Amino acid sequence: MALEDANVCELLIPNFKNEDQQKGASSPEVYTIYNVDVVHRIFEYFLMHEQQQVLGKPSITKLLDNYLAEIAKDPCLPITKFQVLAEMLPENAWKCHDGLYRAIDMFLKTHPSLSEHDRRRLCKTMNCEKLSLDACLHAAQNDRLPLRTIVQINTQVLFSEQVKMRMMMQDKLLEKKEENSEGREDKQMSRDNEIKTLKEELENVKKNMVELQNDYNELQQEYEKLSSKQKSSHNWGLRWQKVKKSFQIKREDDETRDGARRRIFTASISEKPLCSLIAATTMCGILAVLGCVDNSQAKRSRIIELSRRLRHRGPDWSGLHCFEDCYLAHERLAIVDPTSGDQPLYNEDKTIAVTVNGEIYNHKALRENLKSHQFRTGSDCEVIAHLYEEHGEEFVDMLDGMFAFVLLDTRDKSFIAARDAIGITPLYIGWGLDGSVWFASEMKALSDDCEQFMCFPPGHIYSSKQGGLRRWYNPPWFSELVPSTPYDPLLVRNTFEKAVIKRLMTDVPFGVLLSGGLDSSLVASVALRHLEKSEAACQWGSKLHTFCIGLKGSPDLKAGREVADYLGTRHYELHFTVQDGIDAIEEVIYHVETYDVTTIRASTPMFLMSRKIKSLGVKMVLSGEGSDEIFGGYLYFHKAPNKKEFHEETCRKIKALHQYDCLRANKSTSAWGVEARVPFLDKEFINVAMSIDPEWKMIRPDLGRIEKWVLRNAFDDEKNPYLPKHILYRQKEQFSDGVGYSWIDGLKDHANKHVSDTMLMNASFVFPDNTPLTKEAYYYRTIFEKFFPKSAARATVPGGPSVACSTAKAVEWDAAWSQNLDPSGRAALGVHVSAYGEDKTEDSRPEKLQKLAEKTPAIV
Amino acid sequence: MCGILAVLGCSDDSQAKRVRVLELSRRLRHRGPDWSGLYQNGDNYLAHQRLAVIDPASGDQPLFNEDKTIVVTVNGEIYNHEELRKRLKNHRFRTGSDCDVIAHLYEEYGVDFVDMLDGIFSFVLLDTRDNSFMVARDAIGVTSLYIGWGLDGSVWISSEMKGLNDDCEHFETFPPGHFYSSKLGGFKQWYNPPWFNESVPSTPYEPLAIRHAFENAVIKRLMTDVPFGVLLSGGLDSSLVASITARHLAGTKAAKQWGPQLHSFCVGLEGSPDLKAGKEVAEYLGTVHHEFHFSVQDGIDAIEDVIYHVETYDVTTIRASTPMFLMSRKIKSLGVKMVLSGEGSDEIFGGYLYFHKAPNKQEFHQETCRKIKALHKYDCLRANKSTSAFGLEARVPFLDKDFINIAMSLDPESKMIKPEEGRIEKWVLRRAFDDEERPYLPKHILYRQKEQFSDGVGYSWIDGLKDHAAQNVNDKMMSNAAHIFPHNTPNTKEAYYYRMIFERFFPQNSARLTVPGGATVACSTAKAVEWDASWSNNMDPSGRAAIGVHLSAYDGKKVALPMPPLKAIDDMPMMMGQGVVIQT
Repeated sequence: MALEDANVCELLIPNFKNEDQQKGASSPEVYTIYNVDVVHRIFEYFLMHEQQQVLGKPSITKLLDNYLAEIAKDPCLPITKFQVLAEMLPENAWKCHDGLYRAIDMFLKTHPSLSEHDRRRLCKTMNCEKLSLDACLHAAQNDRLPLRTIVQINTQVLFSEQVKMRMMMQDKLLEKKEENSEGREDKQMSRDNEIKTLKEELENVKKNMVELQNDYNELQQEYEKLSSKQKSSHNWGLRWQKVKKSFQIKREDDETRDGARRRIFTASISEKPLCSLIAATTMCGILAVLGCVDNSQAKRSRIIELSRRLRHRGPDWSGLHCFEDCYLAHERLAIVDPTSGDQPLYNEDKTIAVTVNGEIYNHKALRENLKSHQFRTGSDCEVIAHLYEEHGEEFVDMLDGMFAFVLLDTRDKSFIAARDAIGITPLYIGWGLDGSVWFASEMKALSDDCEQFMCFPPGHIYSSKQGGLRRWYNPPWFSELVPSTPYDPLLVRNTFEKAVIKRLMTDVPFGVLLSGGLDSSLVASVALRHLEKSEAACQWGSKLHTFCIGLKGSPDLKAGREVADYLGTRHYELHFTVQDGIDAIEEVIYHVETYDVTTIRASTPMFLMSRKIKSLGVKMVLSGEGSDEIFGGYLYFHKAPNKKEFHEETCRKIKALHQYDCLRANKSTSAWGVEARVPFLDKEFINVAMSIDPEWKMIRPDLGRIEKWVLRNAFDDEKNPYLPKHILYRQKEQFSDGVGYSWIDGLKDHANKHVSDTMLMNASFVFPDNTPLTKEAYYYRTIFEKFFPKSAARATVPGGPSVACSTAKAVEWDAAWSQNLDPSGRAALGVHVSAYGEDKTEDSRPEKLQKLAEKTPAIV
Repeated sequence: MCGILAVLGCSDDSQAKRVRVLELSRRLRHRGPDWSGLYQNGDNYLAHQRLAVIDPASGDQPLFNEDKTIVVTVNGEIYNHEELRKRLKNHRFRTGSDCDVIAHLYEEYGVDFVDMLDGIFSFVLLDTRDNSFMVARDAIGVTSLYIGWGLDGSVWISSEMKGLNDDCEHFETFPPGHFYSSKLGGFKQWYNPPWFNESVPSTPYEPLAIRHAFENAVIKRLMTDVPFGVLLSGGLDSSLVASITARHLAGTKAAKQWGPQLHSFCVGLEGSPDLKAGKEVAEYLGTVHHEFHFSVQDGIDAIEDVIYHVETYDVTTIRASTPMFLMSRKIKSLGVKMVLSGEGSDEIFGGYLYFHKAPNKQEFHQETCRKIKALHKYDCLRANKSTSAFGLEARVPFLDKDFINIAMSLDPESKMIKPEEGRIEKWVLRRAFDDEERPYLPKHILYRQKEQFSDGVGYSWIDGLKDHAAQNVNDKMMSNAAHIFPHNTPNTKEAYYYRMIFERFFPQNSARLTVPGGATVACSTAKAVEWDASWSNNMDPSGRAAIGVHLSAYDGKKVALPMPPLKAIDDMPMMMGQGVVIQT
């Protein structure tokens, strides 16, 4: 049989090996599912003998594409084999690289831990010019592809856009003509429809074009920066070369000019040792502007002014480090090391400057390994400069903690920026028209001065040398493969305890946010047990302070009080009125920088509470965020169809945390200079919790397992109970519900008064992206747009369909959900709920879900 | 110390207006970071940003009378509130706040109760029964307050100008010692002490009376529940405040909670005179002393902030405010919410160097009166706003009502500077605390001569500022200054530089007018410039040469004083003739 006529399935030869062979083999290749080597040989043979025919036979390329797509799904397949196979056929054999692209994409999906270099190598096998428009569009938004390829694709898209649009139109016209020739009159209607859809399609293409143009501009800027550092040019269009050349000339000019006025400003104040009132915490505000081609006084003033916008994050002191045209500004919250902890921090000879917002919990251990280094301060963040000296850019994974930092290496004027694994600390990256790169803890510091900006992706590092972003955080769970470690309650318990203990490293007075739910109660209980041994207790007494906020008589206040009484903490109840909350909404949106309805609802009480907490002199609080994501605690997880879906959804939720709960917890407390620490998002704890076989996390009313059962069970200690049973097994109240039922109603009423029906009707025109579907959402959106009018700002906020906080993917779990992607979907959810209620899980459930349905942006 | 904002009778009770008032009130947030409240009654809004110095957990404002018909929002402290409460036996108080008495006093006495209050305050009181309101500010103007009028007929009251400047057609500083009543339709001066008419008093000098009055003034101001400290520059005034505080600290409520150790604070460039002097006094008194060092660059980076917060373009005020502003941030970060400070003594006792030239006791006395009346535009403004910028409260015992009355009833003959009798400036104050048995301060500190504030932080500070201004203001700008700034034209590059920043934040004409100007020599009022012909004849910056002549003439009289350094020249305000300096 001729190879070109073969079917893919026929080539999928399973990898049969006898046991002897397996014993002898040590390399992982032997465990690939299919025998790739055989196929490789078959193709080789085919090419040797029938080379001439290859060009004329598209089926052979299709076959290879399909085969590659199949074997790409094998996570054990080494990249080299895949690449060799992909490169077997001569380039001109392919008319179109779409199939190859699909295969590569598949491979990247199953091999998420590939380095940037490997990904680039892989993508070199395909020629972007041979991608169809659809594939290009897909590829342009594909974050799995290496940056360089995306640049190529965008260039490609822009070059070929016009041609292809024209071609498409011609195609469609042709089709029409064909239809006409058939002469069927009854097709008239459908043809009209088709014209309509065609028009729509055209609109879409135009829109995409604009978007791509923006992307292209952004990438171009980025590329300009890379190009001066890296000399590699292949497949670049002529225009690119030109851009690069002109830019290099400009850069050289700048550098010579800068060299002439090399000087370092440091603005740091030294201060004599102070009283014991001072203490340790370093949640701060950072702002860095790198390579802004302007080191005038005006620029300096401007940066000081922008940095001031972050002052709420660090009310205690500020510092500005200026090296040529690079600025590192810092607003600092109190003090780990009173005598010399002011930032920026330096290495021994001050050639490396770092400005950090965060907390490194393992800094003592890291210092041990840096024996040859001399430390200037006692600050936990100082290790960063020294680690960089020692290990180059690859040190980030050694840090255990939450952090966002910018490091400037003045020796070669390169810089890196990085953000912690989950994104507990906020960080934004932006690009100025002058070619500068900006980093800021909050969007408000860079939104006015950057042409383009976005969230700095968590777990990533940006390096000016290597060019672009790359992920340093590669835990086993990241690939979303279903793990199989059996559930070990004690392991979960111990790891969590350790996570809490780490976070008691402080000598400021601190507290716990205690809403009375499972998560916060566990944090409070564990913190209390270990408080006595901590540094803080020596100075501030061993009484734990707990805080709870709510409308008068709200469920949280009651539940919080109950837990506080049980634990014997010094408990503060803070009451607010709906009017207080509404008055604060504008500020909340300004601080939290989002228009996401659920986030705003939940942030407001937290924001108000933080102010009170700060006024009591407390600078740090522990909080329970993250547990619902890790253990699938949201109520919609009841509908997870199987353990794979369940697990993948938890992975997705954790990856998105930085846009939701982390954002809320960090920014609404930082607005008042309070630092929130979240033990559930400890790197080690996540690893343990995410390696548990998800079967255990599934909600199984038949086995008596309610949501988060693995966590509850882990702390179910008969002898020395962490919490009373009824609290330990109490069901969830989501935050904005718990503060009082009338809170959400009050918000809705308020929004209804200020958003008319006409406004909502035109919402899709006023706000084409992430169109608000409810009056409440519309109301928040108008406030957001007032503070952050740029489209880049809009894009930092997540959107898409969601049911009760689910990701868009999980909406598919229930047909009823996905069919009701509008606010009136509540009715459908109600039906679903009552049906579920008959499952006799728990009597309170239907009511609860009903409530839930009301409180979530129903389905947005 | 809090931030208040009131909008009264704006004929608009919409949500938009409410949001706007909230937004404006937020501009005063730094004054009261602990909590905020907004009370709305029809088209009257009372907003409040609170700094909780007493009882952080409750006591939020606004405050009400029993039936909630009278609403008050207050920024300040009433030191005699316990005594006043006793007088109001039939009233029931809702909170423990010292300011709670205001609503009840109004109920009992109508608008004429203000003089009963002993303390620093500015408040807005709304009587919802007849929709009338009253506003008042303390005697000397220790707390800041502005009043403005909107086009819609509304009256606006705000602790700082930034709360109302964008929304008022016209606004001005609320005159201290006055109240405004909507029924009356205007201002009325409630503060009418004997010294106010500037007639020369004749009470003979009694050192012990001065000492007791001042000690009382300090003790009153120790009323607080939060950790506090003393600003200690090492000069006479701040050292006296620290010394008395240290003596009386043990008995206070604050000491029980925060320990009997007094914290003192001093700011300066590295190696500055103040740091040295402050340390010396701190060691003598045994306080926990904190030194803050700043660099000239730090100060320059903060200038914009300072002008925004202090709301002035007066050169001397900005120079002196900057170190205080930087220090306040550090103090606050230590958890200290209140500090005692030494402002006001120079005005009351004629402590400025130009008082050496006072021709007679009448002129001397009248000048001190004028200086006290103008305090709210200079030192009070600086002390209040540069500390409030970070939610720190400054209390100034020298400006106690009782103390001023006693000090200003002295025959001014005793205050006159008489080198031949060995009386240097502020001799009456020094003498009053010259206790041989239990010395308040060592003699050499007690009789040490004055360093003016912005000098003391380090000599290069003023030079640094001037250099910086010279880099940013060119000669062409200066030559057109009179056209660009016809009112209070800046005469130096430094003044021009500050003025540019001020205009950016506060572009309104009214804003410009709130800042004083006019002829001055070394902080004197315009009137005192007449004391020496050579001063008034040299109303330009180059007048320095003429002063030199004058100085040597003065020197001929063999003044037996440890004299202040020549540097004082640099500290003179920019306006007109550069000041007098005495040089041995």
